[in-house]
Amino acid sequence: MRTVLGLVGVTVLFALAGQGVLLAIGLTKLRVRSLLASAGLAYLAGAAATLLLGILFLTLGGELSLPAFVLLALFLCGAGAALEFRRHRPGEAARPSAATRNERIVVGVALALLAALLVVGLIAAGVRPLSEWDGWSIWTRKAVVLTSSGLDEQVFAGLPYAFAHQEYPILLPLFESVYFRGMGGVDGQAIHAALWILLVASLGSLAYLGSRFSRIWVWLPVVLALALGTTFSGQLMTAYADVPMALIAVPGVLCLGLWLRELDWRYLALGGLLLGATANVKNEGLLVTVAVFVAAALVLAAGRAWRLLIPLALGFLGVLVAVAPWRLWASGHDLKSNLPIGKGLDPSFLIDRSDRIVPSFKALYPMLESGGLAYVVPLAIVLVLLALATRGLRREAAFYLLAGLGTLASVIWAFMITSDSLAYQISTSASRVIMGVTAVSVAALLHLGGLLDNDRECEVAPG
Amino acid sequence: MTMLSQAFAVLVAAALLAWRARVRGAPAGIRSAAVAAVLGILVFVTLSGSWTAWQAFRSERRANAAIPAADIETHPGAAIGANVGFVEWLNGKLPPRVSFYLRTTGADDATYQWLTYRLYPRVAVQDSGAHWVVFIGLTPAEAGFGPREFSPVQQYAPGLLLAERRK
Repeated sequence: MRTVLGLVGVTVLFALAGQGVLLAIGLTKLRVRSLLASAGLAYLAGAAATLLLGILFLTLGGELSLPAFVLLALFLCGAGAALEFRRHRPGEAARPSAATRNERIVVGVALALLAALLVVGLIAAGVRPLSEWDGWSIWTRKAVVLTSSGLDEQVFAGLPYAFAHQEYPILLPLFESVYFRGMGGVDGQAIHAALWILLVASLGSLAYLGSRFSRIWVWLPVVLALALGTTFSGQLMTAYADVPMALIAVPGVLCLGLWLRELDWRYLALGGLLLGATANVKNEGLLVTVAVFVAAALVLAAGRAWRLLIPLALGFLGVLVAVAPWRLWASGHDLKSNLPIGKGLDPSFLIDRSDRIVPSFKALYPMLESGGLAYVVPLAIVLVLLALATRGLRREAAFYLLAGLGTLASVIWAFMITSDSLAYQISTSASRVIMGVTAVSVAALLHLGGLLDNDRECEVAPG
Repeated sequence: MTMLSQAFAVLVAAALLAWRARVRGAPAGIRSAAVAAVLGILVFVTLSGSWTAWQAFRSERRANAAIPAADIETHPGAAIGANVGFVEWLNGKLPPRVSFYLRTTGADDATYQWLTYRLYPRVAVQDSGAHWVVFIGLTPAEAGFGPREFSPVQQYAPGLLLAERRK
């Protein structure tokens, strides 16, 4: 009973904290319908905000205890609600719905089927024991330690635990440890349910963000792809960090794309928060984050939108602030990485390792066209090409194209410079490291799909 | 059922496209049609696998629910081939929250990693002078310890030992 209460309680608190964030920046309203609709996005925003602050507490020698987490979540919720209450902004007009009864029935059944599948998935996740090696030995191990003793240096920086990739960022272990504290102790089965809730929240966030600029026939298929792509759910249940990273990255990348389109600072703020969290889940998350910000900067520079580079730089500064606490702590404790970044920026070292480029690409490419990912990458490429050929959509199309290529290039770069053998790297991680490219593709599918769906408007829009 | 879910996927895609065409009220252009095709493929690919996914979730839940509660905690170690029996033996011998020095040949990574996970909050330390020493794959003498350094040296199996320093 305590396990279920803890699971529900922590989930609600993450969502409450996130509603505070969304209310503060004006991306939801103090109305029951709006709050329910934005619950998924709120969960992600709340998890990002509380856990990034939690990492800061930990690195300063504190701890994210259960009372501290509850107070922090309620404070964020209350502060956001107070801000929204003072603003008294009029609500946005509801979009008209134009479905016939039969269409509503079929789509309603699809949504009910999705909900039923997600519930069955949640029940299955809740009884799954920890099994996969790195899942428990790297990620859940750190969650267990954070739950018991905080940032215990004997484990997080001790030589006997060097195998556990101590330099890896700790947002996912902290996420699990908050659930463990809520559940009253470490539960290797129930933690899979928490990861499943993260998936559901990401689906909800895509539906909510998607519904702001596209119709249901655009956002529902994309949500279905993320929900039912077997690779997503399969890898999520390994308790590795790759899919959780992607689940937070997708709405983050989408927000940055939405900012480029609408120049609404709220999207940049939320995108910065989510991408800051993404960069704290995995090193690959940092690569995705850098790639999407560089892509955004390039398309703005190409369009001579110099003034827009300033808010973008501020957004990136926010990401750097979010990344700094853990990086400084890891550096202060001399934690070694198998990715020698310094060497990786040395042209002569890169030339020496250039023979790794083609095999790396050949190993990653088949993963990207896998049916297990619901073909989101090739389908996103189709939409990017169409959008590039459409006046008024070229900036967004170029952004997603550059972000995807940049993310892929960053993974190949990591394969080039890693101290591990290429064969080992490919065999152990090729199927997982493509999650960054996949995340960019899902965001592109939703955003460009929605924009292209209004192609008549695009024809007359200014370039 | 797989075929039924595939047929259902086509129905849903058709409904979405029909809905869209009604709202737009105009013949679809190439971009619009391509978007429709992309979305239709997405719906088909995902919903057609829904029955398989449903069955997979249910069978996985049944299989995992059948694992005895006593085995759940040790399942991660067993899954990677660690010597779970030895680790549980240590779990019963070592006092709570002590630190220990782990001496291994390096040949059994699975047991090493599982041991350091399962025994927490007992912490493995780098200090070879720790009060408790765990040996994996070698004896105290082979590891260079003197014959009188430890009082009891308890053996789980050859090469799997727990030694306590003399007080």
